[in-house]
Amino acid sequence: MRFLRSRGGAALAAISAALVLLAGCGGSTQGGADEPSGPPQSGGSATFGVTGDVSGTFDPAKLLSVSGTIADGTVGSLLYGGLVETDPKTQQVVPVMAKSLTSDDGTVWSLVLRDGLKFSDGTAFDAAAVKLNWERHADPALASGARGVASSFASLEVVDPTTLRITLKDINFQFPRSLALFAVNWIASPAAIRAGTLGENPVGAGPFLLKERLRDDHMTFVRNPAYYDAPRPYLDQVVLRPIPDGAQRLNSAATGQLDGLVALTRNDAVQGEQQGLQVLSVAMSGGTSMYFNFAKPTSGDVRFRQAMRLAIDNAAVSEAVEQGNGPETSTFFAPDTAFYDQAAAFPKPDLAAAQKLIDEMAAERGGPISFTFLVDQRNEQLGTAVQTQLAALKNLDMKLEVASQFLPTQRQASGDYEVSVQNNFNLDPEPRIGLLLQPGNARNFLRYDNPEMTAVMQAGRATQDLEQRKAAYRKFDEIVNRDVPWVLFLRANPNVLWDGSKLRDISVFEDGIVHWDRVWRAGT
Amino acid sequence: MTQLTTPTPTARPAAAPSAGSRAAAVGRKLRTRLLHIVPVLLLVTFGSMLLVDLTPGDPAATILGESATPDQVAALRQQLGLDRPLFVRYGEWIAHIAQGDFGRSIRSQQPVLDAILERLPVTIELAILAQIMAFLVVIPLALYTAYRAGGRADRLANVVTSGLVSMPPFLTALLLVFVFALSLRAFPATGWVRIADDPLGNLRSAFLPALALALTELAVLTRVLRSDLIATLQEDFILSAKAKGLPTWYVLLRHALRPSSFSLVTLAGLSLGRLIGGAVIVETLFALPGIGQLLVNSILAKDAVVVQGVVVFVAIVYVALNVLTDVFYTILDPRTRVTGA
Amino acid sequence: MKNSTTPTTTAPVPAVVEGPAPPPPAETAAPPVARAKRSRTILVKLAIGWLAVVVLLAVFADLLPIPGYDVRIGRPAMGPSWDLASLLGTDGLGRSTLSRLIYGARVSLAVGVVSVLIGMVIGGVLGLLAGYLRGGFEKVVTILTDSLLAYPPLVLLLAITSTLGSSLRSLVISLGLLCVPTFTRLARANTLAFAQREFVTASRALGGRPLRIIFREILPNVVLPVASYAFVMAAVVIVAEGSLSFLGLGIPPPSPSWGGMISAAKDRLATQPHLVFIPAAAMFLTIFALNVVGDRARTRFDVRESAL
Repeated sequence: MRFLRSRGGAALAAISAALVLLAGCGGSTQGGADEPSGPPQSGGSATFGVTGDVSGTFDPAKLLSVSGTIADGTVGSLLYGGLVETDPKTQQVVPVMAKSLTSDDGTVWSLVLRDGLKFSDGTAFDAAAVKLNWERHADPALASGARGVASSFASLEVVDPTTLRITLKDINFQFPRSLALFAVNWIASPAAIRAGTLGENPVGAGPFLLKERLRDDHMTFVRNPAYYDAPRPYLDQVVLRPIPDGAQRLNSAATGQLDGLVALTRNDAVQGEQQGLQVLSVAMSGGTSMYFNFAKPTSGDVRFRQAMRLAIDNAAVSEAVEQGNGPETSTFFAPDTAFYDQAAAFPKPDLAAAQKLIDEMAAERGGPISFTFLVDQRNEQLGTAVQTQLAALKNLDMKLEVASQFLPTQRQASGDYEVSVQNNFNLDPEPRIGLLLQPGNARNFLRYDNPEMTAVMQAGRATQDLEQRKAAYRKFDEIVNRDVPWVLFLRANPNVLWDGSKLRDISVFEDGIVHWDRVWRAGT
Repeated sequence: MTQLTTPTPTARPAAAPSAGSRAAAVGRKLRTRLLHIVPVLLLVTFGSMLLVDLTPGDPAATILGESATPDQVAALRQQLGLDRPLFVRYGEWIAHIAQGDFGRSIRSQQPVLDAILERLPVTIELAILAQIMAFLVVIPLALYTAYRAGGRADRLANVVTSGLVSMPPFLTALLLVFVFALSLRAFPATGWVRIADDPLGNLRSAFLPALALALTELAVLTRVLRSDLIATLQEDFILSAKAKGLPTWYVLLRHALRPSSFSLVTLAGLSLGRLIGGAVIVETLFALPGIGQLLVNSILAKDAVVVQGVVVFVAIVYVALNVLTDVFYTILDPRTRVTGA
Repeated sequence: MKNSTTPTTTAPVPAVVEGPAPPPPAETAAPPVARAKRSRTILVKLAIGWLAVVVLLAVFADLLPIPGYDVRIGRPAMGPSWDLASLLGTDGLGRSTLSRLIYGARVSLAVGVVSVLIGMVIGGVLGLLAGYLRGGFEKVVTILTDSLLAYPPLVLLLAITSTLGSSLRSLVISLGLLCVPTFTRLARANTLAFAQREFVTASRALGGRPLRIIFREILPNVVLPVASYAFVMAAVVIVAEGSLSFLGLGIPPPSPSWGGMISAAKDRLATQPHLVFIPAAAMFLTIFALNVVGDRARTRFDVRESAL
């Protein structure tokens, strides 16, 4: 097992500057573990455990984001492939179905597609199809998770069948990252969109086609014979099994029902390793955090948020949730990443100081402070761990509300929460953290609005100079420690685990989505 | 799960009716049962509909969350029909259900009946397998312990069944997973293989969950059958059969078992319904795509329409099973005669 | 009047199935009976003893020198040690297992006692009235109870929980509702048996008003046989509560409940089995004891079968 690490400054500078992304380098982002490789064999099937079913339908506008921690990321990539992707090793965005994505000024971008791309229904995957998909994401009625990105376009112009000119409203040299991370990366067949059948019968150009599914039980995908990157995909079939409980997923692999799985905690990865599974972890900044809704009186009070930061001891949370096996969490940016700054450490746990802040609030309000902590099933243990720590504070009453997997995220999006939990891990603060902190953005679940922060994040986007970006994020660290828009407890680096005797050439992109088109089964 | 059963409301004097009146008795029985069942069904369906109405506050707003736009809330109110009077709505709802329209999931827009039907085979197979497993143990065990009532084996069996009866089903299931799946690796820990895909794999995937259900059932069934057998064994026809020198096993199987199995049949019929309830636990623990899992997932996802649909579906099936059991029982038992209860 | 040797070929199926089961007809076999009876008496005493301990601990939990159930006392999942707070070790969050077990007993017992009481009062009154008044009222009550019984219990519980949300209050209400039909049937059957007795007919002949007869003449006779089912019902209710907690739909944290403790520790079954086995043992023993005492109580007080 090994962590994927950033190569630091040089690589990062390269991302922004790598405006000419060469076609054909899509296969260069091998993040695979050391395993005996040979010539790939075609055929066979793989059954893979994911953390839940898709959040809505198979329509890209209903798939939340390109993340391996939820089924949406894997499903979208199987069905639709992707225009670009981020290599977690280099943190560099590379083209996949796109040939290149370039800009001179960070505002006008040129997207060039590979020649001859076809959707599985035989229609052409061209610049017009991309334009149609992206304009659709901007429709508020659709409530797409990528609406934030889609609404950042000032105009989209089809230059020729394979070239789309994108004009952004604001300068953003990190635009390729937004493309990689959100559902705008997945292009569906315009014919299927017009037919209105995309949700149940998805038509894309990805390596696999949906064969059948039973909600909350399995989704079966079969090889797309018309996939652009022949002879890939090698597998005839990929079956995804949604199992929300991490231990149940591991058990299923142990008893042979799964060939591989996603593990969200380091502890699960360690246990999987003990079972003899191969492990691939993606090292990321940020992590599992307590989110505060700034629009609510209690969570909107900076003293409350500071008290939470002072009262919660990350080591104790880690001990309860991942038996102390997690990576350290004293800063927002993980060590060995470009923006890591040891000096920006979170304040040390200090119960007395936290109590003082809470008492002050309670005195003002004439009664104890009560709030509800909304978590999803997967984070129930985390919720009780936090509750146990906060039990040490007087004048504070925390209620824990446990909901199904996607409900907390939906309620965060709609502002219907006080305090909740969310993963804000990232390979780069853009775009996720940028959008999270942008006033008025649909992904600003925090309802956070601090002009100083807005300016800092804008500065981080508007340049491709690493030193300037470093300076901006140093400032970011400072404001985060002051305003406490979230309390980071766990690094929660996603892990992919698999049986090395069955599956070969496992590599991942983004935060841990398997390149299923490259995987092959041994001994078929 | 430890549960209550619906006792069949029959008083049964032990006088055998003349052969000719049998069919008439069954017919009459069926009629009175149906007369009784109609109001029960009405109440049950009405109660299930209230599930959405009783949600505190405005159900539509509660379901959608506080920041839903008024338009969205209005749309859902309309979908749920909350803006019309209760009884009007109930009439429409019942009419829809009679046509197989249980509404659509709020979250996935899938028709509820589709969701139920694609999961029903799993739950039914589990229930039937559990019943078979239970019977395979219950019949020989009860025969032996009844024959040797008070003996060492009987007392041992009594201790074991008392223990099993006191085991919460989730605990039984948990231990089975631990021992047979995780430690011995003999059976899968989760998942369902469809019978059409791989019959053997299907049995393997169903074995542990069905066993967990069977274990909680068999204790009760053994006790009931055993005491009925003990009663039967004292009757004259058994004594005369023994006097004729017929082998014990033959007497037990041919003469004693059938007249002793009425309450077993009743209980078994009822427990099929109860097993659907018990399936909630095992389907969650073994990640099986049955209707129990659908119910739990829908509750966690606050999908009230699916919850309502599953509840009313299960209740209707349960009532129907009761009636069937009752009729079957009437046919089976020559002594049953309808008396105005 | 004692329970007959043969519980009829099967009287309308025992009202409560599981746990109880029909009274063991052990009297049929002669020689080992005495020994069996003696060992059963010892068992009943042990059961009463265990229940007494659980009740006392639960009632006086606040007076015991144990830490709060929601306070971290040390590292998670510590094994047992010779110190009251960590006598049974700590749970996955470093809280005292002993404290959580004792406070969890409080939840289990509160739920058991209160909901059984609710079921007994409502069901008892309905059953009394139905059994005495007969006619239309009886029909209505029968339809009501049959309707409640048409839902598999766990499904009914889940349905109500999904509507009212999970809290102690909704739990007690739904579990109470679950108990109503059983007690209605019991009370009705027993009332039927007594309604024909001389003292009742005499009272009626003397012009006693129905309500007076019901509550003065019949009730005192019906109370014990009906109440004798309370233990068994409490066992049923505790299992039901445990099942809900196990599914994560029981009493919200941090309040401990045995089912919740088992559920929280199930992932550590392989590594720290004591985290599961301690609450599981407490639950098993309590249910077992309730069943033993309940069986005994019923054979003592339920005169219905022989009276019918």
